Amino acid sequence: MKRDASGAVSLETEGLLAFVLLAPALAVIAGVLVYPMLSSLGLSFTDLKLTDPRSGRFIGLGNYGSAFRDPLFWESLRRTVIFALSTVLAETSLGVALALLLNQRFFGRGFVRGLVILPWALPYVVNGIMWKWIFDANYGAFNAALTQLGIIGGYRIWLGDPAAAMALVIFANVWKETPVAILLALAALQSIPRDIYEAAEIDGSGKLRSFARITLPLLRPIVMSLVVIKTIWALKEFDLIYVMTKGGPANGTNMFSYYIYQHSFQFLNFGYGSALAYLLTLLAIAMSVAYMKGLKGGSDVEA
Amino acid sequence: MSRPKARPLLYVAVLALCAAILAPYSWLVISSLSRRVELTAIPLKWLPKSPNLENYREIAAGSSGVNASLKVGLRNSLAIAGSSTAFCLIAGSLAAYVFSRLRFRGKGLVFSLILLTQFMPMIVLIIPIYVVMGKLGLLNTIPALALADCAFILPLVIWLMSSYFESVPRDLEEMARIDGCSRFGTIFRIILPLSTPGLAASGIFAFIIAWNEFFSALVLSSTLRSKTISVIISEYSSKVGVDYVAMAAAGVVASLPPVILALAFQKYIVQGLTAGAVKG
Amino acid sequence: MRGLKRSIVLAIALALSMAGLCAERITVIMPRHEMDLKGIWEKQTRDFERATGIEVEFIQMSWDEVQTKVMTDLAAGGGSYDVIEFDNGWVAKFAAADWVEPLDAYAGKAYLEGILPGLRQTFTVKGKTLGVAWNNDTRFFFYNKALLAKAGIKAPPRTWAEALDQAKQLKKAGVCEYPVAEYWNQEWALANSIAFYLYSFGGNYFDEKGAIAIDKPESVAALQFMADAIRKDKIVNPSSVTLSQEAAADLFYRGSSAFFFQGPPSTYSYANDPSKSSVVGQVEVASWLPAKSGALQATLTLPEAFAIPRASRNKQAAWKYIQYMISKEKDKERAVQIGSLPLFKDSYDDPALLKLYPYWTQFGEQSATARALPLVEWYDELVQKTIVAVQQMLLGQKTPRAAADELAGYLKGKSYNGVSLH
Repeated sequence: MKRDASGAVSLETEGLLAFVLLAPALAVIAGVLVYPMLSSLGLSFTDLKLTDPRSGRFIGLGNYGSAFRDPLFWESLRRTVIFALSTVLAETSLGVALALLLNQRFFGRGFVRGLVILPWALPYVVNGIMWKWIFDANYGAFNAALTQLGIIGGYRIWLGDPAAAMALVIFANVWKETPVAILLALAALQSIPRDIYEAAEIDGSGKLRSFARITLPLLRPIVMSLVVIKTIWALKEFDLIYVMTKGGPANGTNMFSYYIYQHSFQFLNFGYGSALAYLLTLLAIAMSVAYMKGLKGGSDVEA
Repeated sequence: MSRPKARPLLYVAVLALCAAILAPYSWLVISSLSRRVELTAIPLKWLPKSPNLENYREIAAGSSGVNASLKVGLRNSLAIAGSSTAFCLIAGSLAAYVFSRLRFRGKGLVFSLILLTQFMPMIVLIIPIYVVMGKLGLLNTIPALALADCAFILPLVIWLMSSYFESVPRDLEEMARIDGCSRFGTIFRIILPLSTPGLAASGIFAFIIAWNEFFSALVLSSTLRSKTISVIISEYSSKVGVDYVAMAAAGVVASLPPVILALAFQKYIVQGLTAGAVKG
Repeated sequence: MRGLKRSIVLAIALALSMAGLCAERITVIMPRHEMDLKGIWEKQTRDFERATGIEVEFIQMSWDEVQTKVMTDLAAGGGSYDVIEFDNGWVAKFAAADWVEPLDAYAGKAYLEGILPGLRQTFTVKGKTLGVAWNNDTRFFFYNKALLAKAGIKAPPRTWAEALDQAKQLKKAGVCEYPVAEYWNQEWALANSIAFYLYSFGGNYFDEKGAIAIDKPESVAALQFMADAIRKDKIVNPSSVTLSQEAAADLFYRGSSAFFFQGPPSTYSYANDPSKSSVVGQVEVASWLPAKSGALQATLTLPEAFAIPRASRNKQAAWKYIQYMISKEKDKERAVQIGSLPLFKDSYDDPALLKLYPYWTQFGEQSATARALPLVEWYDELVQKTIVAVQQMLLGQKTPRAAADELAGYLKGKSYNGVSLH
């Protein structure tokens, strides 16, 4: 390997090595996704509507303009952002907290760690139907439990109120997806060398101080990853809405992905649907960049 | 790392966690063993008079109908999720190494482009994918579904493994390289072993995403040759509603493999770093 | 190496087909019939294979999934399927996109004329038959005679005014807290319910000449009735805004509600199945439907059909399949085995069937008033707008008048039969 005076390897060799190591991953990603992404970008500039054989004409930014003028677009956008912010906040903080819990030694720890996967392992459809059934107005277990415990007087129609329905959808999503955060945070915690804590203890640092000065900063990269990944997932969330509420009641939970689905697959407005998809992409990118700027900080800790 | 005073609190928290996870799931299991008539009684009786094993029997030994096809779906899902996970871990780790350790022109751009693919909703991409797979004659085959899964999971694995590699101190590799170890050597002898927790986590992560994947599996598969378990479960819905009891049984069966996997591999997430590696 | 292997396989396949060793193959995709718990459609498909030697790749999934797959395939240019599901709501859309093959040349007049006229019309566009019905999903009015008797009511209501009175009686007598359970969840089925109420009040979205009718007094009266029933008179279970069809039916099978205005044909057999229902022996099929006045009676028919995509490469074989499965004998076999409603006119006079299902006489009487949903290619969008507006109305966020005006505003300018709605 070529080394210059300072011992660093020359860029050329690194480039070749990088290419070789990246090849398998790039081949799959590019192979499967490049054409679809370009094709739908192209479609977003046309007025393609499958039921109109004469459609497919280039209309520039026409679809994007229609989207901005459509009040339903803004409504579903607003709901999606609320959903994304709530779930990401809840899942990340719960995830880190629970990971810290599971990082402690206690009897049966291994079992609980495996168990934690359970909500996430449930297929989406089953998760949605299960919660829908639990919150069912006439027969749901939630109503039954609350009534039998005397907490409420009679059965309530939980999913019948737009705001409550949104809260419950968020709850169902948090229940299902927090394991992801726990898992990843736990792995990160496990990777912190124990010596660092020992060294700090020797220096007289207390538990809380160690936590704030060592654990949190070292967790930062993974928390950042978590927040970005979960935001992207939340913005794309579709299956849960489709199964639990179909966007209702009174469109109270109609989120962006569902909105895109309606336009593409039900109304067959492919031009408009593609434009919406790209708008969602731009939003996701914007939010991610904002997070990264906000969370960026020092990552290396002096050993 | 535990104080005697905090122990009871600790156990309370752990129990609360277990309850939060198991309560809805147990209700799912109980529902799968009940009959619809019992589930729609008011006031609700929490346990059925006698367990309704009909659905489980059909799943295990049936010959026709949705329940019987669940076994095949399990097999397909295992094949698809297994192969996707293996590929993504290997290719993803190599790629992650590139992004966390190598320098070259355009690195940031390539990384961003790879991540960009994550931002687009699948709904809009699936039809061009369908067209291409159709032209290649890959529709309704296991490789096609695995390929589609890999394309979506790889960026995540790369991102995750990059983060884990970042937390492996570079000094170790520097020392190894000075001792004459090659780049590949450092990857396999130092970085990967130290990132076992990250690998285990990413592996479980990738497996479950592939296991849960629904929409692309729905579009790309049509018969039992490649239908995954999530697609088969969606067939319990009919035009008028959902056969909840049967779906609950199927859901219980479908959730078992990932959980068993997690239980088996969770100990790899446990590793502390080899003590003494960084001293001095 | 892979390319070489594939070429070899292709060559062999070609040779085999040349030698006539390959059988014809078709691919059929359809949802499960909601009453087909025995897998009879699959059995009959295998009978077809034995009878004709044509291999069938038979794909059955839930209705939503079939919709996704068929739309995806046709949007991508077609070619994967030879016989597809063709729902009544898709007719105008598919016709506009020219996705399906006209079947008159294959079928012949005599065959088509044997099918129930309502079913034929639904799938005929501009004189061309685009689909042959396989599911006669007409909805009927069922009621619980035991509950009615407890409140001293002798016959089910003939008008909506009577229906309201009877419901109040049931409430007062303590027999039912909510005598009616509706499927008013924000999904497709809600639009069906809306259409039913509109028709039975003499209203509609628009008339044949293209004049918008949703904001006329009759239509607003229908919407008002729906809103009052759940909010003011409280005869409709308030959870209805979250109920799917099956969930609403559950309340009927539990004995919580006494009227099921638009139940699927399977309601009668389910209600008499002890593992599913608590009201065995109490359910009756009415001979009429409630409406504003007797002449306005209407019930919905939501049939599904088979169609052949234009992109299919096996149209002849595909037609053979359709003709075999939609024949009097196979239809009768299904009627006997699973109780599905026949598709041919004559079947309703068949004494063997009437013996098995005596209540089909009432079905026949109600069917005389069967009407279809509006046949426009933008029906999906109309459904979406309507169900949201009506849900807001049912939750008290909008008045019926406001909802009607909103829909009228949406309809203005839309094209229907070459005319612009006005």
